[in-house]
Amino acid sequence: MSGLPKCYASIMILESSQGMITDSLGRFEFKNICPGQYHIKVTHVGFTPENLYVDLQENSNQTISLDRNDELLDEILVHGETVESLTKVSNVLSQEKILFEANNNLADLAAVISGVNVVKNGPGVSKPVIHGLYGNRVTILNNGIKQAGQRWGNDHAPEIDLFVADHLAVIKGVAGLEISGGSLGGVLEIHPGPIANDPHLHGDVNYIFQSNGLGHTLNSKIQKGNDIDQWRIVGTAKLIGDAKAPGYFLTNTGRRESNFAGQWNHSMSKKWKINSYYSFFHTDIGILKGSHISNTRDLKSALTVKEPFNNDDNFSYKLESPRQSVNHHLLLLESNHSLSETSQLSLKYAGQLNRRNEFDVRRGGESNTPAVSMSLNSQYLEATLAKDVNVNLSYRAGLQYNYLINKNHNGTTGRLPLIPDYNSQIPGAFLTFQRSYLKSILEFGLRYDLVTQNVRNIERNDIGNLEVYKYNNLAHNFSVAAGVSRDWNTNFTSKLNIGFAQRAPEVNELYSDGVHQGVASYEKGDPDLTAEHSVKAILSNDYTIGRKLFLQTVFYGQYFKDYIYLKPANDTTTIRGTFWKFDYDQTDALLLGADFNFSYTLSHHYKLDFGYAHLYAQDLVNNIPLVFMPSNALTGRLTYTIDDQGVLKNNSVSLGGKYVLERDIIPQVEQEELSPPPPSYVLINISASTSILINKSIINISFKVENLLNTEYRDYLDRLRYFADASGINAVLTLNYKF
Amino acid sequence: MKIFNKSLLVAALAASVMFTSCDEEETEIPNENELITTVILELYDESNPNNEVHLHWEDIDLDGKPEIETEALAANTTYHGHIEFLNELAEKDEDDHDDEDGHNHRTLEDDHDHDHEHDHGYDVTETIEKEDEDHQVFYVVDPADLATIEYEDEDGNGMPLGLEIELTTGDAGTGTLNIVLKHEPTKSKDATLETAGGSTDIDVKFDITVE
Repeated sequence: MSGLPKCYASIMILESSQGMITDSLGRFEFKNICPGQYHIKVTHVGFTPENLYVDLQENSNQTISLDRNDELLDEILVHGETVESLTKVSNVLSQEKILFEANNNLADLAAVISGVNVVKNGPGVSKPVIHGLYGNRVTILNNGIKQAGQRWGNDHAPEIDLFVADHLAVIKGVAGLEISGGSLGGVLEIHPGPIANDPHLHGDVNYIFQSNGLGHTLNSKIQKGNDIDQWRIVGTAKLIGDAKAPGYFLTNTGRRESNFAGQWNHSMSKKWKINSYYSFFHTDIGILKGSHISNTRDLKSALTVKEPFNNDDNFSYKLESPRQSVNHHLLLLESNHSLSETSQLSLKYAGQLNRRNEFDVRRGGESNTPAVSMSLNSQYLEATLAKDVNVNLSYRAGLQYNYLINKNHNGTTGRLPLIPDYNSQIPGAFLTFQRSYLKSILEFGLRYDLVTQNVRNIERNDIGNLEVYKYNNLAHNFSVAAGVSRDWNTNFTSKLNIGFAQRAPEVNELYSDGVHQGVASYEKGDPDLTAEHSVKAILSNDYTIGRKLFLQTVFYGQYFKDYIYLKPANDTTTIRGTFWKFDYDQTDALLLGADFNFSYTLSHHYKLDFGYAHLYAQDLVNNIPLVFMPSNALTGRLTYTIDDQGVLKNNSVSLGGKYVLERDIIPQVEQEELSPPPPSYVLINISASTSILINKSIINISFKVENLLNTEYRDYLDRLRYFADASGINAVLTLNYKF
Repeated sequence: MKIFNKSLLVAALAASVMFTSCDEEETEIPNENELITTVILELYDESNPNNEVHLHWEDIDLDGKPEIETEALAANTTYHGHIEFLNELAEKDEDDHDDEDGHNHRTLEDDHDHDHEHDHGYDVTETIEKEDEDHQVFYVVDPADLATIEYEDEDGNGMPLGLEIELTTGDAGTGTLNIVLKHEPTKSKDATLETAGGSTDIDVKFDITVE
């Protein structure tokens, strides 16, 4: 928070249901309260609601800080620390919003923010796209730790339970200087949030039912804390069956999830705190039966039929091949030590183990033998020093070391792996400065990583025998970024962020070799790729008039030299026929885009929101539009707030819509002509929600209908679009019990 | 600094616990028992035992450059045809590498103690016979009047399979024979290559001459 008093925040004592609004200076006063223990809830538009426990024996003063949130109020993320980046452009989703969308996947949830999209492989698999970039270029930070999953495949979704998130932030600029890997495309951060200092056991129980896929999601979170120890436990189970498109079931698109996370924070002394966090994520995901094809002839057949091949007329929870089964463990140990009033040392260890099995439809009764079986082990150490030199100047410096071991279990699969075994060591260092000057804040930082890769690739020699070939690669990644933020006046804030980053090609880009099931595409890496270089500038302007109007514009431009991408190439012929081939290739590219958010409170009851995201993406060498970029989209929502009705508080209903435009490409090869980007579509949704306050507990109930008109549509970035329509109408009931 | 040392110790301890499970293993070379390298169509004229025709397609080094051998067919003749699919790399790989995980590679030979051993690799045709309801071989002649093809066999559900066929040639001419093996097609008596769906395991083309 900026430290400024917050006027017109609402404050409520839960025990007595007494509430009030802070005055124009942000002050509040409750008079004539009996001594005792109270729970206080503070809410303000644009901020994460804060829950407080107060032991009140005599008159006392309380200063309450709030964290910014709300995706529409693009703002800074601060957690009471002085050296959090203030100039990066980010959007935040609150816990309420996360819960409201918790029937979806992590990436679908983030896609609520304009400028964020998803690439999908059916209803079960989706990954985030930020300003047109995804995969290796988007970093996902879970609890401050870079998620070490298999990020390279479009059918690899992030292995994170979204219920662990207190809030979720998308950083759009080149802000990731503290993160290894040159996050050219932005960062998606999952924050578990602080645990309140409160002697009572608190928690949530959530249940979600969805009509499409007859899905059940059950989640529970409990937590407790005092000055010395705080702990939290989160558990989630999900069971979702076959999704239904308008007209037919999408056979074998169900999924299951079972997740657990535990967190324990301990204060060794006033100056030394240690945190530990462990999470386990397991999922089984079915891939549409009808997407089991191999060559381009199969693809042509699939494109011409109305209903997917091998589709079942009946609904089922059953998961058959093709399917995926993924486990992910994360262990985090952290020590934060105040060396002095102005400096802090933090040490982190994170170990991650990712185990992925993918099953194909196979001959010889081997459908239950994985076709892809790999494990990724990531070991990470970090030391960071934060220092306030004076009131106006602070810096952070850090050293990091990451060791990755990727191993294919070929003995089990009986297939050549899509990417080879490798070990990678990445030591890195960063330094960032922050300086405030009158109404401006300036930031500057740089980062260096040494990337080593020891790759053991299985290749076929001249006479067709398989041999292991070794490659030892070494690369240097430099990045540098600068940002400035300025409050022109109380209504108008601008932020400018410019960054340069370098990214050495990753193992999949260098050595991928094989057919990806489901798209009939043969992907071939290129060992001769060089590092890509990129400059991104992002300008964000926030304009508000009182609490009535909010307008945010984000303009960005990103230039790539030697942009690495999958280029549709000429067909390749095998004994299985002709395959659509994609080569990893390099070109120079330019991405220009704008995100608009507009929010207008018409009256006490009505609120109107609009968002629009536009992206122009051009291959500068061939002078054609870049392939596989997100479509421009317009969203709108009208919300009507109903006055409190007895025990029913926070009542609202809303009507929303989304208009996704057709993406233009210029087909270069035959297959692109066969499967052009799908036409534009409109989706309508409605929702209603209320809260019931009983004693000290709150029950939140929300109901929504997605794709209300059961519209048939296909999305350009959904790989399933070759085979079937996307999911149809879906009614979702969410029950949340907070105690 | 005492505290600093302690926390380092905690981190080091944790790291050592996690590192123990990750000593570098050697890269295993898989035994690719699913591959098909060779397609052989043997045609013989029952009324004239001397009239045999072999069509042979192989790409053993999997470089996309197959070796194709064809022979001319006699005009207005009915042939009985039998097709075979072979993986000629499977055995070679097994010879070259002692595979410790051999028990994981379930092959038909292991399962059923078949003594049927090809001297040139692993016979995929047997797997197809066993899983006949999940497979179908399609034959497409172009131009269509060059020859007609009838299925001589059927699967457990009475649907066409295509390992045994009857090929009747028309008048003299030249054209192509396209042979496609589909896995998990939507099977029916009149399914065509275009309407069957499924995934293609084999898609090869022979130039044929009828004289």
